[in-house]
Amino acid sequence: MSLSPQFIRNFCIIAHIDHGKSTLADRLLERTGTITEREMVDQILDDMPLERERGITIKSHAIQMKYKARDKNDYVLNLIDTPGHVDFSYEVSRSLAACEGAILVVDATQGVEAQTISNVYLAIDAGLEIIPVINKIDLQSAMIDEVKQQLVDLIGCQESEILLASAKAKLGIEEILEAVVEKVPPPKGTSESPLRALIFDAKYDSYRGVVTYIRIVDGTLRTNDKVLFHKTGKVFLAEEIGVLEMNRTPTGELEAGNVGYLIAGVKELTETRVGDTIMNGEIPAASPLPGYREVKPMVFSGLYPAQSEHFEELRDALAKFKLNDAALLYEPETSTALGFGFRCGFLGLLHMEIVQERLEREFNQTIITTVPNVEYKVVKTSGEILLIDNPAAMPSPASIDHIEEPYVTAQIICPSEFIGNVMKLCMDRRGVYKNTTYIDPKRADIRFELPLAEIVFDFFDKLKSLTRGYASFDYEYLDYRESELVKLDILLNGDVVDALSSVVHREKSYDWGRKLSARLRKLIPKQLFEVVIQAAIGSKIIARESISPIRKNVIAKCYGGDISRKRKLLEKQKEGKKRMKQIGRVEVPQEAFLAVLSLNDEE
Amino acid sequence: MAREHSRVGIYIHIPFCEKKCFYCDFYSIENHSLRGEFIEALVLEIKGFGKSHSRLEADTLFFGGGTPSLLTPREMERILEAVHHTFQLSHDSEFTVECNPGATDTAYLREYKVLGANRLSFGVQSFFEDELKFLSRIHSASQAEAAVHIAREAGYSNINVDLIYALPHQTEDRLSENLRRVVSLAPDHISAYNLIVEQGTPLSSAVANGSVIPAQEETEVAMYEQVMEYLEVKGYSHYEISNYARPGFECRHNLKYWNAEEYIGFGPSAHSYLEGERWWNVSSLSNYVSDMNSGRDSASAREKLTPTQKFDEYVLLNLRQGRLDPQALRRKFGVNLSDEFLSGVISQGYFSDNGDLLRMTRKGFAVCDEITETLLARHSLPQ
Repeated sequence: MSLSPQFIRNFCIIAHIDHGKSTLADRLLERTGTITEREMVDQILDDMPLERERGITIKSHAIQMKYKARDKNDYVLNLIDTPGHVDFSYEVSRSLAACEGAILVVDATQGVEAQTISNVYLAIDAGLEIIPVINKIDLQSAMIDEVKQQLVDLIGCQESEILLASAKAKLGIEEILEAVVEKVPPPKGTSESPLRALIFDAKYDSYRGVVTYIRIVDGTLRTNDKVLFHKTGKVFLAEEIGVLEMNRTPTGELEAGNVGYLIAGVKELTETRVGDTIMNGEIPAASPLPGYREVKPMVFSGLYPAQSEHFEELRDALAKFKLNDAALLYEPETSTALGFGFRCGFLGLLHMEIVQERLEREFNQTIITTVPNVEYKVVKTSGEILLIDNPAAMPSPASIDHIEEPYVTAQIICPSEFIGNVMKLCMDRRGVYKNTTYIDPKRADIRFELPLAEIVFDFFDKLKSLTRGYASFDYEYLDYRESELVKLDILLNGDVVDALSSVVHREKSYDWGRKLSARLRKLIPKQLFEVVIQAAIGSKIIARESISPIRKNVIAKCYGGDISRKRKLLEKQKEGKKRMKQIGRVEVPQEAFLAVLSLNDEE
Repeated sequence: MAREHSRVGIYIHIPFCEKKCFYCDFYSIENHSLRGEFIEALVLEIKGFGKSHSRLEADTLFFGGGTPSLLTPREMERILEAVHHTFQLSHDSEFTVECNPGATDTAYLREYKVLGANRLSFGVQSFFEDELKFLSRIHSASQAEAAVHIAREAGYSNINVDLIYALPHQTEDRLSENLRRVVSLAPDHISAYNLIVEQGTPLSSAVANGSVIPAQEETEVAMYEQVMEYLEVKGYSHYEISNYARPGFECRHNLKYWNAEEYIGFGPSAHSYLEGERWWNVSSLSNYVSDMNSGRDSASAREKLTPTQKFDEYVLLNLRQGRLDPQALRRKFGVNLSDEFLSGVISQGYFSDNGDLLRMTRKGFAVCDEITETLLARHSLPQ
């Protein structure tokens, strides 16, 4: 079966979170008969349980549809799903590289939001044809005309090109499919050239080893071909090749322009890299595909097994995880408080939470996460420059000339009545105001320069609550700037707990130290011994709290001969204690290591 | 296949009360219509045990409940006949009957004595009428005192009195008075329990709906201190969390529980421990009776203790007796207590260091469970 690229369309859907991307994907699958209504589970592309719960798409997926267009031709449509959240712009660009077009979905009741804008720019940069769609037009609060105007301003299209749809009410679905066929260019490349295939995703299958998701850019890939993974230089035998329908469907070959999967007996997780080019092992192409830009982690934190004997299991889980989440960076580190673990780099705080949750759910790991931080540039008096991604590794104050921290440009879109709240929040977070423009008379686009450290914990939650949920937010790395930063240590019974150290602005340090100590006093339970909590900058103690020893914990009765009952009560308590980390004599519950995250809620 | 058993304890559960107490969560019912069937079922169970086991030697016998003092001497005789049929009861056995001071026919006490009983345990609980009423006890303070005197006259030389403290709104003065009056009865053994709000009791519902407000933790700690101090001064040695005895009058039957020795329990909800296995009967008189009549086993669950469970129990039970013996832990289980733990609990004043065996202090008793949990969370059996 030879498929001419003329009849292939590769596209993705981009949207701000909750604008209806997943529902639209479901409708396309349904309309093309890829899946029947009966089989339909809502939001079929989001097959990770976590995605369904959070209603966001974390990982890219791909699926192939067959569509008979109004021109009577049969087309193969490859839909490559993309995540919408700002943390995942790296994954978005990964998906975009495998497409020629993008459906841009905007919610008719919300209009253009921050992530709409950032995703559109990524798609335009990648040279994609944009199909603008206004979704949810059946809702009463739909503002179709205003949103049309916003789209015209944003992408410079004609009003007539904008499609109107409601994925939920199944309106306008066919028009979208027709637009994909008509407007998205067919893939270039010929099946006769030497093979070049882009790996845009990969996952580990416990029976088959590594499954790579690929887009054939040039040439043809057949079963039993020898395939060369360009970056690693390793050659494997192509065991199974196919397309991604609801399940993997073997086809024996894939030709230029098409999207599918490859199983090549790759067992080692490190041998596949997303973004790498697959070539023919016997006649390799002259040069690889451009690949992806390097991921830049923005937020760092320590991940430790709750029980130190599970270190190797965690290492293994991270290696498997990394295979389909190239954005996760990790390296082993040691903490005096927590033992052996890993310092991990994440795209943002949401990414961090998701990694942690998936490690717990899918890989059955119980992990302690330390307070997230950014990467600091420390210029020593000797002129030496250090990059510090762990506060505990900060050199002594005497040796430091100055410290620089990363700044971002933040874009906040919100109804104009909330401008004051947003301004105040950003100023509290050491923001530098840049300017405000209006998307329409009622909505402002506010730009600030902010230290990244000030937005990694709870900025977005705060922003949402201060704007009654209306604000949308995006940011982009800007530069490193010198700041008055100090390392704040926490001591438990006189010993510094490295995993609780943080880097804070000098002006906020006293307040911070006081709140953190108070928070820890609430989180650490009473125990057999007094616990003294101190916050210190260098050798100077700036706050102190203490937890007096427990006075009573004894059950008077032993229930006659029913020793089992007492033992079971005890076993439960014992397990609870085992989950805590023992630091010196102090038992510290896992939540304490993230105490800082909830600090701003303290009075 | 016969294996050497040290002497076992026998427990007989009498699941009847005239009135269920507000706070009690032991299995007992107020409907006595199955009493005749119960006695026959008990006899079947005890004799049945004899059929499936070699004849064991026993040296403690304990009638608990419920209210065992409701048993007529004839009923008790019938039960004892079965006990003697199945067990070799030593001549020096400790034979205890729990008595409700408000439901004790004084003539019965003399007859129990003739049948071999040599230890009585009275559920006195308090000497204040309002406190007794709160606890829904059916006796009065004077009845309780009379019962103890009659027992002495009948020739019992080993008497226990139970006391409950830390009742809602109870003052330390009230507790002093209760302690003074208990001691004035000159019992050989005193069990003094901090009132526990057990799930499923009327007391626990009353606490849940706010009509009863339990004592503050600070009050409980102070009262526990008061009890320990007073009774020790009066010559009662504190040998378990809530138990005090004149030297030589420690309850041998309870010590079997606490020293992980073997015992066999008969009757609904009774617990047994034999050859490393624990099991317990159903907590339902009607099920128990029908199980016995149809020759079924009435055990509702069994557990064979794992090495870790044995270790946990050993530590738990020893600490409840105020003992910590690091060398015994090493010898029996291969577990070495960390210096950090040992020096910590000693320097914090939870134990006094008398050479090899550490003795728990009053301060330690008040946090005994915390010490146990901490010890076990930080020390595991070697793999």
